[in-house]
Amino acid sequence: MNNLQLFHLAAVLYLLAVLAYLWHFFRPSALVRKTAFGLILGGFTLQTACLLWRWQLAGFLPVTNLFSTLFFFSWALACCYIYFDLRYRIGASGLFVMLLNLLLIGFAVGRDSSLPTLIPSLDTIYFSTHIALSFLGYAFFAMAFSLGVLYLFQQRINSPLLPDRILLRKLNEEAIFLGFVLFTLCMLIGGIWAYEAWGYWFSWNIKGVWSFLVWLFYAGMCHAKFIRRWQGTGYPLLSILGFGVVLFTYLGIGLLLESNHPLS
Amino acid sequence: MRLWKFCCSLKLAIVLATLATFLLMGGSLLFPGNPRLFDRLEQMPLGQWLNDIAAGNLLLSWWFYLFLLMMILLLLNTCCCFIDWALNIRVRWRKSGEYLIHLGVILLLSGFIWGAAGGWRHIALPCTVGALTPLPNWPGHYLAVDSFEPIFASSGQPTDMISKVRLMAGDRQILAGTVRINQPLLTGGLVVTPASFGRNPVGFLFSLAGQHVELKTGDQISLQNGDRLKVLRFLPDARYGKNGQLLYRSNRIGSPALELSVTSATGRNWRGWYFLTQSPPAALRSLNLRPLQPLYTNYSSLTINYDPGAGLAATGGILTAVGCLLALFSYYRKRGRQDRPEI
Repeated sequence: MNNLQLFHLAAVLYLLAVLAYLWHFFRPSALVRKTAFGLILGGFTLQTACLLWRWQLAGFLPVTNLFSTLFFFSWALACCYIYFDLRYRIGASGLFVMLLNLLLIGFAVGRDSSLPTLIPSLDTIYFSTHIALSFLGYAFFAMAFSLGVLYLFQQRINSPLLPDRILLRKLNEEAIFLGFVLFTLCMLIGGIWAYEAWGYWFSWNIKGVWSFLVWLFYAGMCHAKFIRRWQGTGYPLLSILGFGVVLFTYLGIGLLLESNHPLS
Repeated sequence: MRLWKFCCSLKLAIVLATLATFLLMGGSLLFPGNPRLFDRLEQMPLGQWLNDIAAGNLLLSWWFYLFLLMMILLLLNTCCCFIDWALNIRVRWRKSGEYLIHLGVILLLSGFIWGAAGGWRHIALPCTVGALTPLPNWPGHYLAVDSFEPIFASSGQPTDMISKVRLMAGDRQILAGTVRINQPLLTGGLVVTPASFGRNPVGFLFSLAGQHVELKTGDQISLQNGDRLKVLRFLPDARYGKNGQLLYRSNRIGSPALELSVTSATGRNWRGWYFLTQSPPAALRSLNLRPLQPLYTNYSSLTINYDPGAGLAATGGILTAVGCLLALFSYYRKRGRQDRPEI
């Protein structure tokens, strides 16, 4: 068995979890919900094993091309969902989060999964920490996006299977706060690394600019929650918009534009 | 009082942050289409770019000035918020983590502005080994690269660039150390990092009467007949122009030429150019001088950046990181104690 087979097996378990959640959505059953969560835990374990295996093979955290960053993003999102479900029992919300995760995996499958040689300036602990914090931050923003969509969904259908809107709002705020903290630390470590590698801590390269925009946007969101007018529909809408900014920063710039953070 | 409340207002912060966000979002989309304007942002501090480059391209850069204005207003608003919190710390101490982040951001932005206004930058300045390289933005100061060693992997890929450098103020050494990838030389806002490396042709290896001799600018050798051969100049790529003047074409080996002089004990002297792609001048033919291969010397390209705000920004970064961790801790502690559970 090679490390990619572990990844494919994890993807199958995530797919089965989504199907189980779908089943639970139409025919609520505690057993099916628990099975779905168990499948996610199984998939996450396999994906973690695959990540560790690839890390050991490469000798560094393998996050240097599109496949490996999508892989890590998917792993971080699963990790983030497990945290929320263990803490708040958000149940059928997993359907939407894991669908998003499957999309990430689907985008990764078939791409070049080889482990490229690390360029010398990336060979530092700052690089691994910067990337890990960045994708954990992105994962919480993705979680906030999912919770924002669920909030709007719940506003319309008011399903007993989903958490109530007050809890969804709280979880959304928590996801954004955690994402913001992780992303702030990622930016700080990135700044230290850039200073050591290139001599200046902020780069006006388009990736640097959009990363600053992501930070500014979510800093604004951390403040917007205190404004009464934004506490209803506005906040979930901002979460959805914010994730659009994150996706453009990650994929749009990495794939469409020339930057100092290339993905291919 | 109303003015103070307005200055500290959260809504004002959100309006300013929103305007800054939209300006930078829209403006940054001009980056890929206008590399001659925006790529220069990387090569110099922001203040210099605004003065030298952006001011002459206002049609494309006007938004940048507005964005900076929004950021400065946001900085002032954040300062007011922080002062307001500090004045009421007795009742608002539980927000210490969040306000430490505010203070960190204030210092980061202030450090950035200081560096943008008072800093300078040399990107990939070629420094020849064994020579003094003047720093144009810091008159009277030089960088001396005493040795340079590129390290290669078995695949031939360079994995490190090790330069032993000295920073000189005139004849006085003010700093010395080794610069490697991810290991810069740092002092008081000045940072020296490796950028790339290369090699320059400096002379030629010849076969002279069965022996190998290196001829570089300034070298002198004694010939068997007692004459002295001196290299006055070496040009890697030269040719004669239409008017008969010698043209220096490039720093790569093309049509290499040596300006030589031969001085004999009898006082008979010769001086002239020897183009290595042609047969030697008549005065040199009897020497049986045969060119073999070019001689090179390594140079290390170093980036030298002076940022007087770096220390302030670093302090801001540390405070922001501590603030983040404190805010995280207090968030869950408040949750655990059902203290303001709605937030």
